[in-house]
Amino acid sequence: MAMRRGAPSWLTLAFAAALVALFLGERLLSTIPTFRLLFSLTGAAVLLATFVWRLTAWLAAEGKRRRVERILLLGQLGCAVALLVYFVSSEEGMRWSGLDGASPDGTESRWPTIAGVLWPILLFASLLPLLLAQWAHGAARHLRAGPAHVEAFRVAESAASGLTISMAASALFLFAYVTAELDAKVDASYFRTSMPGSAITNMVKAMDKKLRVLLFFPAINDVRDEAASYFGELSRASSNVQLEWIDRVSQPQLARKHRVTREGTVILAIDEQSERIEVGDEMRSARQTLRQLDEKVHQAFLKVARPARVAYVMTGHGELNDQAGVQPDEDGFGGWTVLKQVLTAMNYQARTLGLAQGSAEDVPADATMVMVLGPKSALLKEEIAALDRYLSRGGSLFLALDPLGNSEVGTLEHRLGVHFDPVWLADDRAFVPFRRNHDDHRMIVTASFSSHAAVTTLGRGRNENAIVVPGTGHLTESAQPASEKKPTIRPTWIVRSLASTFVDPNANSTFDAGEKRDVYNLAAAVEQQLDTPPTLPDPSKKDAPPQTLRALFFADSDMFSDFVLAKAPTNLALVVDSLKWLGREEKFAGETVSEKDVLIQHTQGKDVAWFYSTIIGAPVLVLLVGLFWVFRHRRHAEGRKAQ
Amino acid sequence: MRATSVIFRRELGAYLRSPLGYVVAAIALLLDGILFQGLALGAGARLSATVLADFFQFSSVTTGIAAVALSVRLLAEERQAGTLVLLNTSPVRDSAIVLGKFFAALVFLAAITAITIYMPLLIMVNGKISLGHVAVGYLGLFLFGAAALSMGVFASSLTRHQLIAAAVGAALVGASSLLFVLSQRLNPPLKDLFADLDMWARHFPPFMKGVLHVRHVFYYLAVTYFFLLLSTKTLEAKRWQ
Repeated sequence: MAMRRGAPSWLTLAFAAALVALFLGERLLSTIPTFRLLFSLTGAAVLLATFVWRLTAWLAAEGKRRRVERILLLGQLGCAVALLVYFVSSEEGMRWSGLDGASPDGTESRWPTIAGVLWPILLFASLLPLLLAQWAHGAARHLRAGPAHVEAFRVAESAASGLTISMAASALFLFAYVTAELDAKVDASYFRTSMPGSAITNMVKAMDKKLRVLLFFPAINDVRDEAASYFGELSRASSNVQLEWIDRVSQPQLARKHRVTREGTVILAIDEQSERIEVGDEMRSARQTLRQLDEKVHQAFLKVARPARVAYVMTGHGELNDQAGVQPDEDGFGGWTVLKQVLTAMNYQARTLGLAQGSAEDVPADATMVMVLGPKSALLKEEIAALDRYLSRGGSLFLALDPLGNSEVGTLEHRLGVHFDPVWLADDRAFVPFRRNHDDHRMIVTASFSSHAAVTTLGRGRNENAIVVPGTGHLTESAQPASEKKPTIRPTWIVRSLASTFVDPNANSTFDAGEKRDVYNLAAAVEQQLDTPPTLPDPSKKDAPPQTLRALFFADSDMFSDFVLAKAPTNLALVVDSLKWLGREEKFAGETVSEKDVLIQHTQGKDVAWFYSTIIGAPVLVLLVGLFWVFRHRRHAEGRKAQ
Repeated sequence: MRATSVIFRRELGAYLRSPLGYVVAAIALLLDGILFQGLALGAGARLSATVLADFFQFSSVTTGIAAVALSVRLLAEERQAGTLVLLNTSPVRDSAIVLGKFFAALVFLAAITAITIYMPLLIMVNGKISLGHVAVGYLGLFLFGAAALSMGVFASSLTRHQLIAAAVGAALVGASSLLFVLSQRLNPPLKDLFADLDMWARHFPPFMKGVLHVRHVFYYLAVTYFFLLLSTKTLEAKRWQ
């Protein structure tokens, strides 16, 4: 059948350009009236003209040509309807059509929402088939395709493909919106409620009173279930623990007595003393607390089981805690915020002891222990004498010196039987890669601990209990003066270096000829019977006075700085056990269990293993296995061919 | 289905019997290892969950690259070698061709991704991460890889030249992963539209953290389906050329 010439192929392009002009005029240039008018009117005029031309061409065409023009006309018609819907959904259109009022039932009209979804779908579902159909039609004419039915069929197929794609995309958008609104989620990240650690278990076992645990939770609650598993385990560890599940609503007097105002509160009570732990009853907010529940219970128990104690911390000589001198030293370590938090958590009040507080006169009588944290300038003779007198009446001393500080401790050396050698130690085999240069050899690592109570947790012999000792000297037994008739004091070496450590007198962090690798003492514990133990108990004090002096002597103070304690939980464990021993609570020593995330930091040795396995090992293995498989297969194939 | 499985087996065999697949796998593992060692682990101490999340973040980059590399030859090579005509003239639908090839490449990509499991397991030795977190992260990598692969298949269907297909595929994956950046320069509603269309910034991070959202799973499945549909339609259109 003969076909009349239809509309030119550029008509569809003009139509598309008109749509773009309308978009520019209405969306991008709407704030500039002149441009808006120009683009919108031009676009509308061209749209109308192309539509009329297409309609005329369709009416004039015959046979397969008419079919092609009908497909293109339908595409343009669809776009026009989409624009009409868009216009009606606009503010002006709503006013013009009277659809801006409320629905008959009084609710807000949903027409803007419906129209807002409908017009893009209509536009896409019309424009894409139109463009694809025109492309197919133009390509066929360009190639002078053979029989006419191929051309019309190709155009129809292309339009159908465009419609399929646009409807699929629209459906996917709608489904995506629905799934976003009804979003369900599963949090598979690490979460576990901590279980009672050995520290709290030992404490409740050693109690001579009952510990009441009042748990204010709703009857059915997932946080309650987690808390029940922890406290149930604790109550099984000791019959001193008594659990009581309280409904806040049915027992308001009890809630008022303990000032409990919300669900998810745990009260630990011994006699009239009580301490609260706020856990919460919503799992999302309670997760963090549940992961650290053992630590929280440990801290609360210490506050309720015994009154607060006092730890005096010397100041005025550039110590870690000295505000005037609290600048990081040349290695970048300083500050004692973390150490102070540990003291607070263990129910100690940390008080400064400087000249203003009478450090040169005497250590206050309420001191449970005195801490000296890396003095940079020398202690006064009077201060040393005050510490000596304090020790002679059964005091506890935490003494940490540093190679970068002042190492003069006068008579304390003889009192404790320990001499501090400030020459640097280094280790080029077991160290923490920090700055990635030779200075890292001073960031030595050791896992060599004795079985002393001050290193209970670390001394369990696992390799991951290694501590970091940045920039340390070492300790030896001090030579006793010949005139001394006292029994020789034998310190206990509680922390020692690894055998690969060497003394580095030239401070170049490199193992030179003449330097010796050996095991060096890094920390000492001293316990000595008092010369004249107090015989009359002080009636104002509940505890019996100590019969021995106790001291811990460390060859490094940076291992207790904020930077190290924040990143090395093992150093933190050393501090906790040390303080418990000095406070004569070593029977409570043990670890608290935390499911808090941990820091990953490797020694140089481990780094090398990880490096080679991740970067070289796996890729080479895959490549070798693959190439072996390929060549084996080819050989088989060649063998079969030869046969 | 039978045609799809035949094509699937043939393509998977081609990957396993040619050095290209193993070279791509080795390069992907090498890049993963370097990124893991250099960036995820870093110089100082880092929380184990952070290390794992960073591992998945960097792995998504190598997965995207591997997906494009594996997909470019699927249809372009057939067209270049003239064997696509054989497929077109056989009683096999275009959708079966596309699906068979896509699934073969997906299985191979999944295997490459699965081999990297030793890195999260190394984190588990000293860290506190759950198997659920690892599983969700790998699901995210699998879905992201499937979406990137479908874009690569579409790019491969457009041309006979593998280099051009690789460039188009990389451009598609790259552009769709940067839509979020573009969205910050736009006003609503385009801002929200572009942000939601972004293939990475909006939809991948929850997988990194071990949180599985149904809407993100649906998004990746939708993108994969859409580009496979485009590939099928492109093949159909090319029949008439």
